[in-house]
Amino acid sequence: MNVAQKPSYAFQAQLFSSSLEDWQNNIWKPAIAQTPERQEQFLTQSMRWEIKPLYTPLDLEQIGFDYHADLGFPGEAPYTRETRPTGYRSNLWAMTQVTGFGTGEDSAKRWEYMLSQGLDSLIIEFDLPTTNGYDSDHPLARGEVCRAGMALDTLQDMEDALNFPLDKLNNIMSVCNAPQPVNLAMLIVALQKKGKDLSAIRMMMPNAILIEYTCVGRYIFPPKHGLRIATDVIEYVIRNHPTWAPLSVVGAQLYAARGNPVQEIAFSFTIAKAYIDALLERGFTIDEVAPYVRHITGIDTDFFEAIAKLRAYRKVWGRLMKEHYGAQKEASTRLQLMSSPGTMDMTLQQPLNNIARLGIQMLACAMAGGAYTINTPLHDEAHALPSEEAIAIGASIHNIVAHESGVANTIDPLAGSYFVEFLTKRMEDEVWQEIEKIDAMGGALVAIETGYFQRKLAEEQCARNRALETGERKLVGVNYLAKADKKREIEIFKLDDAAEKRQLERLRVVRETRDSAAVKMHLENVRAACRDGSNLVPPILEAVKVYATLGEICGVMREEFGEHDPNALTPDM
Amino acid sequence: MSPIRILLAKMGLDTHTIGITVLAKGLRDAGFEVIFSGFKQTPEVVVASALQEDVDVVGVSSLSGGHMRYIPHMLELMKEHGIDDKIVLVGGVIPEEDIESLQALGVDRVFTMGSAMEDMVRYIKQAVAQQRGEDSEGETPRGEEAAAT
Amino acid sequence: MTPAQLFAGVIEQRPAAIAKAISLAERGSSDSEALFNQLFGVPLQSQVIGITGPPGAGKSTLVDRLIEYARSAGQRVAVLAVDPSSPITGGSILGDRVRMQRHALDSGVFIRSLSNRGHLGGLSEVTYQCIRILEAAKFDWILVESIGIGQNEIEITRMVDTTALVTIPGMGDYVQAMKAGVMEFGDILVINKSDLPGVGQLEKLLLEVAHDRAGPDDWTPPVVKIVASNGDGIDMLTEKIRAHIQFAPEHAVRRRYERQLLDDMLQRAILNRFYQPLVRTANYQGLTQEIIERKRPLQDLWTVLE
Repeated sequence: MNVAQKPSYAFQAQLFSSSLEDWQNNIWKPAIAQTPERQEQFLTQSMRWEIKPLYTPLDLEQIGFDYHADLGFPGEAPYTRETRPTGYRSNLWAMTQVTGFGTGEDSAKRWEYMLSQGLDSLIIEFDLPTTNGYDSDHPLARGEVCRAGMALDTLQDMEDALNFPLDKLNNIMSVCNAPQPVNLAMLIVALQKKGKDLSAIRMMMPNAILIEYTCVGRYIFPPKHGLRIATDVIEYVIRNHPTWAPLSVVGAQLYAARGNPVQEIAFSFTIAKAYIDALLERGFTIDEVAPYVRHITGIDTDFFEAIAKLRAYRKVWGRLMKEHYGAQKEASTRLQLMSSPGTMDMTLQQPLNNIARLGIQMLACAMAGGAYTINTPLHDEAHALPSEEAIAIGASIHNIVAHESGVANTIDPLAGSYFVEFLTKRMEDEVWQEIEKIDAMGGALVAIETGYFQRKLAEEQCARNRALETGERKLVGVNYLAKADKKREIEIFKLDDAAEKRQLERLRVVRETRDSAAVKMHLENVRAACRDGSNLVPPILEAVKVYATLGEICGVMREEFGEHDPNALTPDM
Repeated sequence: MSPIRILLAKMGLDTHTIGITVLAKGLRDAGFEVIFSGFKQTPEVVVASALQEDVDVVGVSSLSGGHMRYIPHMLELMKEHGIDDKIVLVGGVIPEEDIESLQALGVDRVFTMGSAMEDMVRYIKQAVAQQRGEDSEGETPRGEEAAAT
Repeated sequence: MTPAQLFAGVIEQRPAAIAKAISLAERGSSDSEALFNQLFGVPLQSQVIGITGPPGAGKSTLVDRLIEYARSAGQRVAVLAVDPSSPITGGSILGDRVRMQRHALDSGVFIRSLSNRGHLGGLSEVTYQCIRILEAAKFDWILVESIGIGQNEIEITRMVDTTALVTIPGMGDYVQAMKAGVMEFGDILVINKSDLPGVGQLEKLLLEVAHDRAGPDDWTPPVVKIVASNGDGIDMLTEKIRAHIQFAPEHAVRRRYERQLLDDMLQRAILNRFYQPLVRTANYQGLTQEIIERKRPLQDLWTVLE
């Protein structure tokens, strides 16, 4: 055979493999005999894939690696190196943190502080009565008001919350899910009343109801109605506020429910398809819709697994949009991602350790790239909602990674690493397999209704717990190097118990001073929209303006759509 | 010792399935009979279930922060129905200062997030054995009457 | 509480007493024997309906609907939900109750979860005693939910008045495998989740089974299609249950079981009376050892008996 005609890579590989073998036999084996490896097996944390001592060009050959097919260049298919051409060299990621709690007034104070600390975006979370569609004076709300987030009963609460100078505020993310149309309406009206130009603010609503059925559980109505309501919101925003982001598939929730990276991506993408298909049915084209789909991913402390996950995420999305939907526009195939480092591993024990974990996770995000926003939880999150010190530290982590580490100064610096490319390819392959499996079942809605997602997550939860209990997976300070008595002092933020009382009073006043007849009329309009299938947002906007409560509006929808019983979906234990 | 029966309930609006699934399986693997009462349970339902199932232990999971409302209410109801001799355990996100208050009201033990399954199992076995007047291997002490501690 | 006190409490329909009586039956002891003796005097006065079928068939959801139906007709209803326990750890997760909890505060409803752990005396005996306790408390309907696999669960079909067997589309293999087992005892063959594809095939299979089953009482099990999760077909099902109750000679199956039970009890008593003392003698041990070592003939064993 004419050696000169063989691709030089394969020729080198031949020579290489014999030198690798030499090394293994003559140097590695004897060394291992002298100093054995620390563990019998080295596994990646979540996928539990075996990690070899060494990765070489042979591994790339094994996976059929090809630079152009597998990596390409930043800003174009396959997107593996980056979704945007300039990476973080032009714009850094937006830095955000979770907050929002107490009454509207409490939130306003907190947000003003955060903006003064240099953050330009706010994430609003709501309390459990709100996300479950109940007013603060509902019997089931007792003891829960203002705890997991802000209480949103009426437009008044939103007006109170936004009662501070809004000029530095560029981005708002509002996490409400089940009552999203009500939340959207209240935000729109409150901002308008403050004279804020709605096109100058970038509003993002995850509106991620389908994920809620699989793990978190903040849903109200049966899945197919939940999907209809979410689609109404998306449609309304696309037509009226085209610069806003009305859909984020929150894979990070799957991650928090212990879903592994492959599951997170595959479940998220099939869920995204459910929304997309619903919109296509309403007459949109894929290119009108796909640019609006965003994703939020959860990042764990296993550095390389996280990097492979982030790269696989955008590679698979690009192909999915192009091949399955025939998307033409570049904006349709380019994944839009927010990375959310590790809420899962923020430990109760030795909470200051979480700062180190966040640093590692942030570093992985910055190196893998692809995220336009990175959202950090705070190191004392296991205790309660974050304290002011924690917020300041969180902001510093962003800035140290961005300005001191240098990792964001070139694009996809780890490309070409034998290990990283091998992991990325494997991640991608397994994701496709899982997507095909879910498609064969009939798609995400069927997977939710039959409990498939829930079952898989339950399996992972048990496996992870077992791994922690046996010590196979180490969590420093918890099951490894745990110090029984030493408790680090950190400034824990205590929630004001009187907040609930204040909220109830606030609600009572609004109920008394509003125009009940107008409220009644607009609620009936909402009911009519429920029945005739027209978009729910316009009638809800009108209802909100006359101070109909969130509970009342959701109450009408409950009557029309029914409730989804959490006990009916109990995973078979 | 006949199997230990434990009722697990989630109270409050939090409907995460994660912790409770792992917990239920862990307790089953330890040989207990685990009766799951459900999500979004009110104190009334939990107490009625505990009574009908004649459980040894009532285990409440509270992740949303409303524990100081519904747990004292549940304890009151248990007293009303004459089943306040059952062992009551609480798990979840419970701040330090609330732990003391809950225990003063009648909760036997609070297991905060991150507690090891082993510890919970051991505690339950000991507590139940004590209640039944047996040692934790399930033997009734021979000879004199087993003194209730 | 003494067995007598417990019994009195059960007759008075007090939930705490019922619960404790059931626990006593589960534990199995001389006290539970005393209770059992008292219970036996209670007449057969409840309709006992077995709901059996493989996991995933939606039995609990069906039971929830049947409770709803019974309550709307003013009947008091009790449920025994039996779930398997791990043969290794002995533990179990009893998750049927979850789907019936909307009835938890209804004083006309009593729900109890049982595991099929190695009860002293066997699951069947415990289940029977529980049924009797609930019968003494005068529940109009007693629903016994169990998984239709295994000898124990087949036993349950012998101590109820009507057995409804529940399957869902896609369970053709199960039906084939169970043809000679629980299928024999299905008085009503229920197809749940009948809105799923494949219902036609399953119906055909079940109709064959029903036809083959030559019941001595000439009851041909009807096949009923339901969707328990939304209540479709429940009316038809309850009609068939009522029809079977009318048709079958009153409590015939249960009386047959009781005859067998008394027989078993007698045999056990005889065994205890004669076998135990015999075994306890040193002679017996030595004798059997020598026979096994072929040092003495088998005949000698019979001589000892004389």
